[in-house]
Amino acid sequence: MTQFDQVIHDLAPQRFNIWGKLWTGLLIAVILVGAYSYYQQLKYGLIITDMRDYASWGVYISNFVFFVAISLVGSLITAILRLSGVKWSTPLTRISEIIAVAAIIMAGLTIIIDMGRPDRLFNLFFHGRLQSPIIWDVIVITTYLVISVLLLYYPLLPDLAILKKYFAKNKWFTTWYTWLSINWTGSPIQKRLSRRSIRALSVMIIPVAFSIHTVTAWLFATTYRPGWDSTNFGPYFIAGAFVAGAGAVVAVMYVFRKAYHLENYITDYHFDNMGKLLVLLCLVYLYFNVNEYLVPAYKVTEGESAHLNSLFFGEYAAMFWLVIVGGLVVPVIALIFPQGRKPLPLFIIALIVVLGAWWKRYIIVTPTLLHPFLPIQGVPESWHEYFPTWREWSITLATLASSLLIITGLIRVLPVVPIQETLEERGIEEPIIEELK
Amino acid sequence: MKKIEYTRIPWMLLCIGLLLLTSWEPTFSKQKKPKVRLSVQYTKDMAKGSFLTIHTKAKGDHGYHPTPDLPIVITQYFGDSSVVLGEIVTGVDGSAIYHMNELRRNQQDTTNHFFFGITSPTTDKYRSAKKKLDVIDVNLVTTIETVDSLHKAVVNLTSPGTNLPVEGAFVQVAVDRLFRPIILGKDFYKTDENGSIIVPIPDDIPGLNGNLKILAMIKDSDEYGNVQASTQGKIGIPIVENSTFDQRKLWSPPSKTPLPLLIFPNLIILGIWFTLVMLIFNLYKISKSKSD
Amino acid sequence: MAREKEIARSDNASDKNKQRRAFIDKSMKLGLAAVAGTFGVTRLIESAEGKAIPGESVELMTTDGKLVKVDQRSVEKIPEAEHVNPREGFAHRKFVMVIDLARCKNARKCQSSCNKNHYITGPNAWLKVYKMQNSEEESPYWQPTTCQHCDKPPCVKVCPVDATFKRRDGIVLIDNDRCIGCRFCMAACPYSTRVFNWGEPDQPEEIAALPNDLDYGGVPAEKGTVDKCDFCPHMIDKGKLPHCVTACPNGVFFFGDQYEDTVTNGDETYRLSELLEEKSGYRLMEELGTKPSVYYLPPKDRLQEFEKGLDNYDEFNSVEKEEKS
Repeated sequence: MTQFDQVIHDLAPQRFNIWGKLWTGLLIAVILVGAYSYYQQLKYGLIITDMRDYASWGVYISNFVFFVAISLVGSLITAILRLSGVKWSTPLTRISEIIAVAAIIMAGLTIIIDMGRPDRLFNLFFHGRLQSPIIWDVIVITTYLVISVLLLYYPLLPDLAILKKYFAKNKWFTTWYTWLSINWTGSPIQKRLSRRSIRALSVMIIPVAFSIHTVTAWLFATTYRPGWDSTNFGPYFIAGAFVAGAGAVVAVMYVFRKAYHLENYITDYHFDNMGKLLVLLCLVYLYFNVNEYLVPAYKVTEGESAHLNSLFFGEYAAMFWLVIVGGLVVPVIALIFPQGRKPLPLFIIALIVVLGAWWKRYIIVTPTLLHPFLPIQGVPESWHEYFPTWREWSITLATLASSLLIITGLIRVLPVVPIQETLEERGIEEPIIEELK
Repeated sequence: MKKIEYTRIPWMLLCIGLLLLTSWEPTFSKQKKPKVRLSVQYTKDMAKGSFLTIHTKAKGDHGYHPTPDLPIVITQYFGDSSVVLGEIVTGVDGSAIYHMNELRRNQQDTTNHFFFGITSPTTDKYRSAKKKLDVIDVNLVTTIETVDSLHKAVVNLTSPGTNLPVEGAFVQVAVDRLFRPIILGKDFYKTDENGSIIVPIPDDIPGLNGNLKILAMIKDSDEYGNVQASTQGKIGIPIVENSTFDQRKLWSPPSKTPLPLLIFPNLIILGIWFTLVMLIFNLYKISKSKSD
Repeated sequence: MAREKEIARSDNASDKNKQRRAFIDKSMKLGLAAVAGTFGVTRLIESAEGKAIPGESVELMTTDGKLVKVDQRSVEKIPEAEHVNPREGFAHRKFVMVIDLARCKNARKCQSSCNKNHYITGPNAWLKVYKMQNSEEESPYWQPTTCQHCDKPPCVKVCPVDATFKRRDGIVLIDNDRCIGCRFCMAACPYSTRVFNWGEPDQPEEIAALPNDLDYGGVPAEKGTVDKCDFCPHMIDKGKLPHCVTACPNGVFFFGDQYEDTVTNGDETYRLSELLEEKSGYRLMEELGTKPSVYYLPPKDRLQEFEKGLDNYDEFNSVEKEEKS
């Protein structure tokens, strides 16, 4: 087999083995349970959650913030690294774009799940107020979704053109690949258009990506509440988003490398570099955390006092320290050592980082709401606390499973690592088949 | 032989009769209907005419409750004769207002003394009740006088017909406000021998366009009932409205978005989306371009 | 997606229908009022008016002593209470409230009257009387807290669909037909004054069946939307004071028009500026810059010592449960 054929054979989408099928089945099962819970929520209202008038935002919102955070990885790996001329990240661009698209789609759906009246969704468009940060969020998320899809699609064109020949025997794939590859032949005009478009998209996605997470941060920072009333929130959230996104990419790339035996393409070198990148991002995020928590702790204004107390020593202390130390400090220490940056250890650390990132957003959303300015009085005792009900959990897990299902589904039909770019980097050209005379 | 004591029979009959009567009594008192309690107030508004405010209530199981849909008959007495003025029915809260634009006068009587009877006849639910009310009709006039840019309210109380001053009546002067008026000066002033009172009006009272409505009121008088008169004058400070409703603010409706917010974000969004459309159009160009 | 479009279309259509009906209603009202005028029907004074349930007719006496039955809606209202549209509110008015903390004994009649008249069904009342103690050395006091109807309302700023809005007369209201239940306004309000209908509100059938009236908050309440104190425009419309003001046995609440510089608790009437100056009135959380419309008079020279109000204090409940027969 020629090198060319080898590369395509390695990188083309493959059938799921038993594990793949089980995985997909598990995701679907989780989604179905969550869907039934959502049906209950539509029927009875948000009363099926543990949210009440004080903890009026809960796990749905922190989950939403998590999705927005993860979606930023597209701009990081695909755009920022690419524009800065980094080459080693090329194999990872497909994965990060897929994760970004899946995350931003689920962000949009998750916020609808939190609405008390989803039947009035279109009021956002008929009666939208530009003064409201939620409208800004709607605009930027929609824009980011379009850019991410385009940034996934454009580099995909050459790969689809290659694959339509590869899958010539499979009618279903051939039809779709042909249609989606829109007559891509690799001609100079097409290459030029593609190159320019990808460049434009890469440039555009960076401010838009910064916008979505800044605007999402401003959903909290535009209120007066202690813990949210911070000038630091925009950059703080973006730094956190890069950490979560990088962790997600590492986790996904490990799984696919294992599942599709892509050791030749996603090498130890990639893991090593991602590990170093993760250390850097975690350190930046730790710096923002220090700013966010130590400065108010120095002043301890009346509003902040109860909130900080509960985070440092009180009912949220375990969660808080676990997330900061276990989710950030320990990974940094572990990743400083080269052994920590080997694929398997890095994978485990990345999972911890992502899990920590999810709980970090829970810590940001809920405790503040339970420390309002005026005392909590005149409401049932259970309203003084919040912990999601099992229905809330099932819906949340269903959204997470849905994002994983989108990723899984896209990987089933798209090459995990960009084929064309790999060929170009390795200097492999399509062999010309001599016509038989 | 025993003598039959016939003399005991009338006694027995009496006892039986008493027994029957007393046993009837409880059932009789159970069917006794509650009596309606009437309270009536006479009010004369110098501009709009006189009216009677009637409140009714009756005792029920849980104390007093208003009695709706109760017919009330209003009668006016002239010496020995009487005329039924009209009938009215109480509303949901047990009250009713009966308007009398022109008080019927007896030509001979120049005392301006009027006698009314307010009756609620017996209905299937309630027993009848009657209230008598007598009032002396007076004319209350108030004007605003300005001397050396000092404003004062001048109130005159006269008898209708003779126009003679009425002395010794207690009048309250106030500025009309939305829910309750603001009393000017003392709680009450007594009309002097000219039937008038003078109350200074402070010069710092706000009013719409500077307009103030000055009220003169006789309240709950035994002789005159309630009497109200008013007058208007541009003697107040014009109110300054500071509502931001018409302005472009962060808390305005979408039709009044602040201009910076309307212009710059929209420009940016249009710029980005225009570029995106062009990029999507590039895809079309790619698909249409011929291979080399 | 199609179902949402369908619901939105029918919402839109019913909005249009409502507008059409409102227009026809207005012109019919005008016509009826003109006809009634020719009979010389005298103006109805509030005490003879029943509850404003649509369709109910009222018996009125004409000047020549005849009894006529007229549709209550066609009866001319007191001109002072005339207003343009419920999103704009009363012209030339700015409503303010003054709460005298020196008089509050935690009787909670304000709270129960508000709960009852707005058919509040959740466990969280719109009007809460807080047991306040600013610090250990300071003495505790009772603080009735309504929506502050801020002049720079953080809740209105963040609403994405213009469901909560500030009127010309200063009142901040909620359109329960528009609200999408995002609860951003609840996060933004520093006074914790908004409540949410987490489930289907358990209101009496005839209340739940009423059409949405912007002037009458919570009547009916809608699942998945926000509610709060509305300063009772439905009462102001009738020339009456809000329910809490009239229900308080200690005269704690004063209400009035700031432009007129007058507030009253029903019995006592004061010039607002004089009252605030004399008793040193202040507003809650002034430093946040929300510019509330509610002023507080400090708890100095109190009518009753604080401890006596503890009998009525219920830390975990602010809405009495209705005894269902």
